[in-house]
Amino acid sequence: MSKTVKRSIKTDGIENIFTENPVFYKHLIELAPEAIIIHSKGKIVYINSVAKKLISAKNENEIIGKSVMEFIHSDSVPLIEERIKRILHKKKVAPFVVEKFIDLNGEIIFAETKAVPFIYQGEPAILAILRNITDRKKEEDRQSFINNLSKLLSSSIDYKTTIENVVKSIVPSIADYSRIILVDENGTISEEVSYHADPNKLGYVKKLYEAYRNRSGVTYGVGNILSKGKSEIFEQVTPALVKKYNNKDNSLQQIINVLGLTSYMGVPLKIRGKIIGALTFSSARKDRMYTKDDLRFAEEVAQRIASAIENSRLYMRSQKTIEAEEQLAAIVAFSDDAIISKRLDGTITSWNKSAEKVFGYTSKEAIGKSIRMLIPKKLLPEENTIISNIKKGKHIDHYETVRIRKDGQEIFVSLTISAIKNSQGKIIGASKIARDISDKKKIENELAHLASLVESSSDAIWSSTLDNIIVSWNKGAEMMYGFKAEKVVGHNIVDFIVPQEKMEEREEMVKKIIRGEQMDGLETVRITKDKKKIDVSMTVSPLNDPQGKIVGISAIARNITEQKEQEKLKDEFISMASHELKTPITSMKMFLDILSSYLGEKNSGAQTYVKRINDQTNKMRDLVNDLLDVSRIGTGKLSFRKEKFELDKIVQDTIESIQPAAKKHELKFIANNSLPVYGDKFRIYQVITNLLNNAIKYSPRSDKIVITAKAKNDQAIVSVKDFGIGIAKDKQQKIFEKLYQVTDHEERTFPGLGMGLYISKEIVKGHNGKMWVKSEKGKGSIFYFSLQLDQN
Amino acid sequence: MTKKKILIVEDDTDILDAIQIILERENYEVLATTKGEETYRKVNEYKPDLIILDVLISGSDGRIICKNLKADTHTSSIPVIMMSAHPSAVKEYVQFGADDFLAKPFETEELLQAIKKNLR
Repeated sequence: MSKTVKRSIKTDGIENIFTENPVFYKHLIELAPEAIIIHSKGKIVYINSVAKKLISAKNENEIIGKSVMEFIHSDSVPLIEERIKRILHKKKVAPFVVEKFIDLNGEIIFAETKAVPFIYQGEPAILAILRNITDRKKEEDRQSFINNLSKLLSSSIDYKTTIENVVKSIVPSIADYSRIILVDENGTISEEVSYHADPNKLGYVKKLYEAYRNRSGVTYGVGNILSKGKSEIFEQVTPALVKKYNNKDNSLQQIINVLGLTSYMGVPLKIRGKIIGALTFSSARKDRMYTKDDLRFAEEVAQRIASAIENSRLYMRSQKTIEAEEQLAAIVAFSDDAIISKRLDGTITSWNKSAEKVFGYTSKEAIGKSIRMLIPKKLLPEENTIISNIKKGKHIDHYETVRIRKDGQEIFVSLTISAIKNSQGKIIGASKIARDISDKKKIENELAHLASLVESSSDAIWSSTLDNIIVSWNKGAEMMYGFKAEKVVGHNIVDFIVPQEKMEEREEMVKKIIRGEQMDGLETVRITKDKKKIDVSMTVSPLNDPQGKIVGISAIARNITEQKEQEKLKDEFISMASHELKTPITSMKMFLDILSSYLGEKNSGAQTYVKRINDQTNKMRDLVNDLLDVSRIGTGKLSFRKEKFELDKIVQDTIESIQPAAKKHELKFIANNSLPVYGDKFRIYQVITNLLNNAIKYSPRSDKIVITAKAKNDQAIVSVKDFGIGIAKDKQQKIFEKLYQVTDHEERTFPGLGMGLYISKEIVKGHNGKMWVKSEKGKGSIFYFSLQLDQN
Repeated sequence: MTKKKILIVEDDTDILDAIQIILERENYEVLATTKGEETYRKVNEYKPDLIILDVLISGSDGRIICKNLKADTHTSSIPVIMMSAHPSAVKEYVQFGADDFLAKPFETEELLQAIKKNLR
């Protein structure tokens, strides 16, 4: 062993100095400016005074004999073990490296260390020289943190992203968990970002925050920093300290224990004296106890973060302002409303595109001119009132008035006017938004007109949804049904005015409405508030929304109860009158027969007159019957006694009964098959009689009537053709109307009340058949009617 | 051959007279009355072979008279011909038990045919 030591000392080449002068050697080591430690067999055997100071020992007894490993930080253990091995076995000098140590207070020390082989009391030992670079290292770390921070702070203009990144960069290099809180202008917390090195524990960090934030009167933590704007530090967090501050709340203490808090500091984020947030650092490590120096560093970090946040906020705000201004400019430029600004003396200072359209002046023509050019003379005082209001700071909203266009046309406008202030807040002008409401006014006038028509109408006018909920109800409806609008609107119409027996009919009506059908002159019965039944005639139409979808029902109803009663009275009168007329006809006819038989065959001259009186009496009888039929059709009382019969036979019979009276005309009948139909044969007889009589009557200069009866598909069709005066096109429909009176001079010479065709058509209609005419003026007419063939 | 007896109930005396003249000329024995309420007594006393009955007789309703006659076994077999100027009467006569109906005004021939038919 000594041999190797000797050799190594020899290599150093300074052995003479040491062996010859051990005191000098001791002093040299003792007074060396670097820390020197000698250890042998793992135990420290010597330290100089600088080393004592390095390890925070008061005297060397605290150190001598202790294991060298006690002072080595776990991070450096593998490296140092390796170096010791090399020194001892290979007798080589270990060059300077930075190693981590722990002093007697448990603080981390960074030291540049070099070690050389040594002999202590004849045993191999190691002499280590340590240069304390803790402060330098800390400074370097802080510098690199600051560099990194600066990079982060400038990497994003969104401060929300920034603070998240910042918190993440603090953990774990400076703290085991950290938090940034931001407050808005009112001091209300707006952002909170926490981060923990161990993601499992982040939940506890958040919990702790939630527990604290709502506590009033807390003398430490975020709340305290925000309210006082001062930094705070707990260099060493002990269970006793935690208990002191949280003596009431055991659960919080538990959270702190779980987090293993050992040291804490918190600093405000301030900018120009204004508190904008707080930043906290928490350590869970025994070897990271924050010091006042750390607090100062934390304040520096906070300062940088605060300015970055402020800058970011300012930037975002200015971006918003720029965007808002751009948007505003676009709105003004493309607005449909005329937007004008003017000075208080009325001089126009700005004029947008729509102003050009609305008033007809280009911006060149308008700017610099007086706003008064737009105001009708009679309304000029109005402008003075507006200006004085604006001067008082009043806002004018949707003021409807009249203005004049460049072409002199008056237009209705709606004005919204606000004051324009300069940067000192002084009112210097007014901005004016003018909307051309001429169309709206016109529509409003029309609507008002319509509304007053609806309101003043004596007809009931109402509307409802498709499920019968009443939407509108006019005065007429109130009068007619007795229910006030406020009582019925929003309720189901069926509950008010529809009688039980008309429910089904009404449902059918709604179905038709939904199909888009309109119903005109629908006669039905309704109930009033007094439970009185009234007859109404309704026009019911679907209501469409602007897209054309059917969304409701509109109805106009007229009370026809009186009219109905009048009609009933009239019909009763006609019925009575015809009854009364028939009675004398009955006896007249019999007395004529008696007279005829008294006269006997010899008195043929007198017999002729008797017959003529009888014919006239029969005519009177027929007229009375027609009158009665017309009144029955009007009341829907025309009834039929239907049975199966052969239509062609009835036509034949009718022809045979009329032919004798038609002296001039030959009635020619063409029929080739039997035509079974189901109906009232007496009424059909009446129809054919009427057609034949008309044909004879209206063809005085011809001598032939052609009658056909044929089957076509499932219909039996009878036609009566004459070669008479014919009917003009425009009158061909009218001749079927009730009591149609011809106005033509020529036709007027023909007698008749105009009931025959009306009755005939109604009879055919009552058999589900059709009646129509083909005719040419001057050439003759063909009347047709069809009846369903009865095939069974 | 004994004459057939016909009772006429009709409040219009002109019609009554006309029918009576016509029927007597046709060899019928005729008894006439203008009062509806006398019908039952006349029927019991006179025992007609046929009755011609107006529907609306001042003061009484021919339909009710007919119904009562037809409900009485003594008179139910006597044929009744109802007549009326009222159009709806034609629908009703059967339900009051009448055997035939004549709508006023009718032809003399129709009256005689109806009587002949119902006397058989």
